[in-house]
Order: sequence, then C-alpha cells, then structure tokens
Amino acid sequence: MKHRRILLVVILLAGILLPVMAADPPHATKATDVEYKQVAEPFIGTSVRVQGMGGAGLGVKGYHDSFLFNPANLAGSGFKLSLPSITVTAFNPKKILESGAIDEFEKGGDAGMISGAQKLLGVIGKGYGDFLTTDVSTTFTLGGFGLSLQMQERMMTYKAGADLTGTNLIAQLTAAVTLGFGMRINAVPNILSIDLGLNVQAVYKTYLTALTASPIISKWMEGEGKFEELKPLLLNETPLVAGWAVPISIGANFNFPYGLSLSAVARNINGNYTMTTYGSLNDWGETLLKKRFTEDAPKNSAILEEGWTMESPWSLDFGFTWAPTFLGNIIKPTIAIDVVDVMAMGGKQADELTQSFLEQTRLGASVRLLSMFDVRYGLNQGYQSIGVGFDLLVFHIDAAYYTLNYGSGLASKESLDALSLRFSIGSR
Amino acid sequence: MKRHIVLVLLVPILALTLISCDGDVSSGFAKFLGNFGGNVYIDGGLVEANKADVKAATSTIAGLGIGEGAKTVKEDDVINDFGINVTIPDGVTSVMKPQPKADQDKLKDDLASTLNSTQQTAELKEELKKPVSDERKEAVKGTVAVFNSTIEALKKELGSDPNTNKDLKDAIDKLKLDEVGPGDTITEGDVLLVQLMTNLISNTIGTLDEVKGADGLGSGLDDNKDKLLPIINDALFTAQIAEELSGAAGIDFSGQLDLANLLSEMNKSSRTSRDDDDDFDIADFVGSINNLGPELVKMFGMKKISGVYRWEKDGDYRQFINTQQAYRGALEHALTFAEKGSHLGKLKNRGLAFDGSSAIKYLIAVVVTELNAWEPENTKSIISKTITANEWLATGAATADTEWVEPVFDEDAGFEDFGKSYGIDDADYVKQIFTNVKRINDVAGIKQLSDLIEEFLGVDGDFDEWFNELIGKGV
Repeated sequence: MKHRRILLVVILLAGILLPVMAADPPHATKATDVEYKQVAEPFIGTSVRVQGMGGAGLGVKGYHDSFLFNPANLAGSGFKLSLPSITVTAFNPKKILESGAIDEFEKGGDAGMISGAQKLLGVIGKGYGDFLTTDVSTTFTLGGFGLSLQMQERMMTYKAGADLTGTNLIAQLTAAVTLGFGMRINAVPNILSIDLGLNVQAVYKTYLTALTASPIISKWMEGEGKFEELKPLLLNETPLVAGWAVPISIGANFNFPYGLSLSAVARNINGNYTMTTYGSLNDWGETLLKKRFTEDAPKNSAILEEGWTMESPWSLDFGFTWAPTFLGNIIKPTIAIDVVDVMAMGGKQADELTQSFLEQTRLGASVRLLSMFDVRYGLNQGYQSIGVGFDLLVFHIDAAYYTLNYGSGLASKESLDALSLRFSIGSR
Repeated sequence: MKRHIVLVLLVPILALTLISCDGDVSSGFAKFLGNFGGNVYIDGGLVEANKADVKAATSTIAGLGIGEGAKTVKEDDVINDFGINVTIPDGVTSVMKPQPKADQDKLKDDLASTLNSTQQTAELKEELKKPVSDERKEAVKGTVAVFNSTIEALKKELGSDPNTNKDLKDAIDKLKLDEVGPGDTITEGDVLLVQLMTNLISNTIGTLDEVKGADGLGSGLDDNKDKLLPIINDALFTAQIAEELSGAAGIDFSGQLDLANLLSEMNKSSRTSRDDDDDFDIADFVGSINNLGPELVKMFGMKKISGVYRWEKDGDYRQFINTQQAYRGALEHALTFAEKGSHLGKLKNRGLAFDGSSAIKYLIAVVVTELNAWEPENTKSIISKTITANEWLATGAATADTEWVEPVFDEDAGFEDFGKSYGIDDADYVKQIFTNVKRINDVAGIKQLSDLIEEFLGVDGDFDEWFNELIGKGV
C-alpha cells in the first residue's frame, strides 16, 4: 500500500521528471522555443542572503559567496571555507499554504496524496515560473583567490493555458566551477582604494525535454501502474540537452571612507553555451561516459543535434554600498543599491526611462547584530523581500521570502513568491 | 554542543513545523507572507501597471468595422472582397472587409502580446464586453450575413458533387455564424471575432485559389502543403480568441476534477461487472461536479433571474453560441487543413493552447452548436430547465444525497426525438467529430483515450450500434 501511495504521488508530482514525448521527434528543445526560454538564463546559484536583500549586494563583502556576485570582493577576503552549503527554494509558498495541499498530504492515503499533489500542481499559474530549486555548493577563498563548486537542480514551469494538464515542467541540472582572483590597489591612502577581480566559470548545463501530465498518466497506464515500466522512458526515450559555457565576470569596487563603495561588474562575458541534443540520458552516458544506464536498445539517434549555440547575453551592473564599520561588531548596518543590466535602459526617455530604471534597480538593507544575527529587507523591482540569518560558530542558517518577476517588465505583474532556506557549515 | 545540534536541526525543524502545522497556523503563516505581496512601486503609483499591449489591442479593435475597415453596400450588389463573388443579401448596408496582411499581423501581435499577460488578458476581456455603436453593429450584422453567403458560395466552388472535397466543405460550413437579430447587443468582442473569422475565410480562399490545380478550388493541396500552415495558424489563433471570449480558456478542468475520487471509482468499476458500468451515481462525482458545475454555468453566461437560470437577454445567448461556433469552426478548420497538409503533428504553440481538457472543450462546443443548429429556442429552454431543475449544478452544492431531477420539457420541444428530428443521419459526419476529438487529444491528451476512440470507430467497434441508437434506429 505504501508503495502504491508513493507511486501515485510520483505520477502526479515527482513523475514530472519523466518526459515522455520522445516518440515523435524532432522536438522543440531550444531556448528560442517558447517553453524553454528560461534555460538560457545565466547561472549564478541561489543566494538566500542576496534574495533577502531584494537581489542587491554587488559590493557586500565578507561572505563566502560574495565573490560570485562580484569578483572584486575577493580582494582582501582572507580565508573562508563553506563546506557545504545547501539551499532549498520552494516557489508559490503562499498559494501552496492556502491551497490545502498540505492538509491533504497530512490526511495520507491514496486519496490524500493524489488530492495533495493535484492541489500542489494547481498553484502553478499561466506563463513562466519555477517550482522548486535545490542548490549545493562548496566555496573556498584565500589570499585573493576563490574557488566555488556549485550544483543546482531547478524545476522550471511554463503553462500556456489554464488547465493543470497543460503545465510544462522542465528539469534542469547545472554544475559550475568558478575560479576567481581579486586584488586591491590603494590609489589614495585612506581616501580611495580600488578592488579589481576576475571570475572564470566553467558551467555544464543539462535539461530534459518538457513534459506535461497527460503523457505521464498515459505511460503509467500502459505500464499498469508499475514504476519500473516508466524507467526506460526516463533513461532511454527522453531527449536530453546538455552543453557548456565558460563565462567570465570582471568586477571593480571603488572604496571610500566611512564604508562607502561603488561597484561595477561586467558579467557573463562569453556566456553563450555550446549545446548538444542527445536522444536520451542513456545516449548521453554512452557518448560521454561510454556507459548506458539501462539495457534498453537506443530508441532515438544518439545525437539529435550537435554543437548548436544557446545565446546568453552579457550584462553590466553597477552598485552602491554603505557598510560602515565604525559601530564595531554590536550593530553593523549595510545598505546596497544595485542597478543591473544597465544596457536595458539604453534608448529610453522620460517615463519609460524612469520605469526601466526602477525595473533594473535592486534595493537592500541588512542589520547584523552581535556578529550573530542578520535581519534583511529589500525591494526587487518593487517587490518586497525579507530575510533572516543566524550564525553560531561554524553553523549558519538563512531564510528569505521574496518575489521574483517573470514577466516583461515589473509592470506586467507576472510574479512568483519564493521561500528559500539555507544551511551551511564553515565560514558565513 | 547540544545547543549546536539544535541549531543545526533548526532548518528541518522549521520546515517540518511549516508543513505539519494545522490549518490555522498554515493560514496564519500564509497571511503573514501576504503582508509582503504586491508591488510597492505599482501600489504607490510610482509605476503604472503595464497596459500598453491591451491599450494597443483595444485601440486596433476600436477601428474595426468603421472607416476603411468597412464597406457600404446595397442589396444585390456583387462584391469580391472575400475572394469570391457574393451577392449582398436583403437588409445589408455595411460589410467589414478582410484586413490587409499588415493589419492582420498587427492585430494578431497586439492580441498575442496582451494574452501573454494574465493581468492584461483580464483587462482585455472587460474591454471586449463593451457595446459598440449602431454603425459598427450594422457592419457586424451585414458581415455575418455576407460571411455565411461566402461560405455557401465557397462550398459551391469546391464542387457540386456532395462527395467532392466533402471534408473541406464540412469544415468550412461549420464556420457559419448566427445572424444578428434587431435587439441583439453587439460588443467589441463580437466585432473582433467577426473580423478574425472574416480574415480567416478570406485567407483560406486566397490560399485555395493560389494553389488550385486543373480541377479548381480544393485541388493542388497535396503539392502545396507548406502553404496550408498559415491557414492553420490563423484558425488556431481565431480559436484561441474565441476560447478566451467564451470564458473556457480560464477554466482549469483537470484541476477542478476530484481526481482522488474519480480514480477510486475507476478502481471500483474495474473490480465490478460491466453490467454495473452504466450506473451513474452523483455521489461518486460530487467533488468534481461542485467544482466544475458553477464554472460551466458561468461560461454559458447564464444567471438566476426570478428563480430561473437563463440568459438575461437574447443577445447573451447569441454571444455564447457565437463564441462556441467560432471556437469549434476554427478548430475544425485547423484540423482539416492540418490533415490535408500532413501537419497534424505541428499543432502545438500556434495560438490555441492544447492540453488534457481541449477535447472536453471541443465536445462542449459540438454539443451546444449542434443543439443550437437543431432549434435555438428549444436549446435555450432545454439548458435553462435542466440547470434550474438541478440548481446544484450552478451553485456547486451537490451532496452525496443529491438526486438528478428530470427537467420537464415542452411537449413540442421534441428533445426525445432529437436525433431523428434534427436529421443527424450521416454516420460519416458524426464519425468525423470523434476523429476530431482523437486528433485534439493526440496533441496533448492521454494516449489511451485516442486508442479507445480509434477502437470505437474501427471495423469491430461499437460506433454503428451507438449511432443507430442516437438517431432512433435502436437495435
């Protein structure tokens, strides 16, 4: 009975991992195809700290992941080791709580599980969105050098209509290694110092063909409810897209007295991915690892399309940060104002320019108390965010509730709220 | 150290607390999160919610049916604006012209941009409910009449032999719209739909004419399959707009079903004999009925007036029927040309969103339009009396004890003899409807349903027996 329950939930919820549209290639799989727009987004990983501050923090130093947002933050960063950091983000938490899905899951039994899964998927709205992300990372900095290993699982959604069965779910797995170096130049002693930094990131991204509930249910019925019958679909029949990029980020901080600094970061230079569409996970394994994961005979060609380019444009961000140190460790406020992708404002005038400026601006503030507690607040394109952090020796816990815009411009009001929880050991 | 362990466990403890807390706490937490919702820039008036797309779309629609978009005509004039000669019927003084290609593209772009935004879609729907001027009403009235005449003329051009290009003729015939009555209110939505249908038929005629071979219109399609794709795009876009206007696009059919109970019932029925399969017990489907019923009644546009569920004005019923006709007609148009051009595998992402409920929406449109084609007044009465007698359909208040109440129809309604009196005696016509359901389901539905339909329609299937019962030749 327990297995059956699990299976039912797998079908309705986790079953989304099983794309089953392999029967009739060629598939729409590229970022230029409507369902896949989000796969081309540059990879940066989820920072609960930054999200709690409204997405701002280009010039905020002192955290193990600061250099991932601005390589210049490596200058004088000293030794830091985060081992590991785990972040889980659930999207639509408010709607999930209101949907009654949790109550249904608590009831248990087949009916509760099915109803809970149905209500959980029912919160996914029309357009683009995310469902769940999990980030795992390890970061090390020393003497101006920084190294970070990151892995992220991201479940994206795209829904063209209102019906639950029309929800496209795209599972993406990204692995990245970032190597950075930063140095400080004391341009005018006690007046101005300049931090310069460079990050080189090697990113490997994979995602599975989008799928909807209908083919999953269909294949499940074909397999008479046996999970094993779905396995070949996942491993052998579903096209998988994988590819790499080596984006570069260059950053600079101009540090002034009283904790004031100005930052500039050119990120995702050379960010285009070289992608290959494989016939399945088995075909990917055979091509790259010389290993198939199941005995099934190939269903598709091993490589459906090789060496195509997925464009991911670079951007130029500016930041202003005020992080005074004269108050010591009792209370340490930070204010950060970032203007991201400033080139998006190009050619705009008057009201349109004002609106574009607000869209590109991230505002954040945090207060650190007794070197132990952080309280954060921010505005990301006008959407509020809150966050808290707690450090005790080597253990760190952060939480943030925030809203992200998925529409074209903040005024589209196409947004999703998200709740992130992070746990890490080592340096904060 | 113990304190450290507690702190390490704080994340999972918090998470578990969150997901296992009782309803009140969950609700309280959701309320707390709600304090951080909204957008302070928009709420504070610093930025206006984006209405650029909807403004562009409504501005374009407001220009339809007047000025250069319309043509003054008189009875017995012969016009060729739709691509085929049509004689102006009695009483028609103005006709909306098919738009030039550039204007069609602009209208589609404006609408598509609007429909990409949930907020703007809602705004557009409100705008499209607004009544239009008498001048534009006359244009819509005239266009519907000429549009229907154009379809008749096109069918003739496609061959006088009923079997020549039968599939094309059947599909085109379903594009016909209900005539506008003197007391009908015409809205911006009506104008838009009529313009899109006008563009669709004009583009279809243009393409058929362009690719025609020696055998005239309807020939040469096999050699020009790629040229049929724009017709499919037009048709699916028109179907998408009709679906939005009808309200069907906003219904989450699958999400409203009580899946847990339905699956449980399926399991039960699979364990019992086939003889029991026909038993319908409301109690088994209470959840689904209560969720979907009110949504459907709302989609039908009916209201409870003096204790009776009905359409407030005749025009409301006509609008409901017109959107259903346009949805069905445009969808069948797309399917027919997709079949002709071997494009059935390319129907996704061309306007209309296909999902597990598309076949249901199509079937609703088929039932409603067939009933209306049989006898509009009776159809209004049948739907009204059925819902009034079973009010729980509209209120979503069915319980396990609720019983179906047979509505009392007028004796002369003849609903019992619907099959015979309507004259659905063409098995191929009905088979085509099932084939369409299968094709729609093939795009994004459950494969087993397609297999079942295929089996039903096959040589050894039960179609003939079922059809004979439908038309009153029961075995």
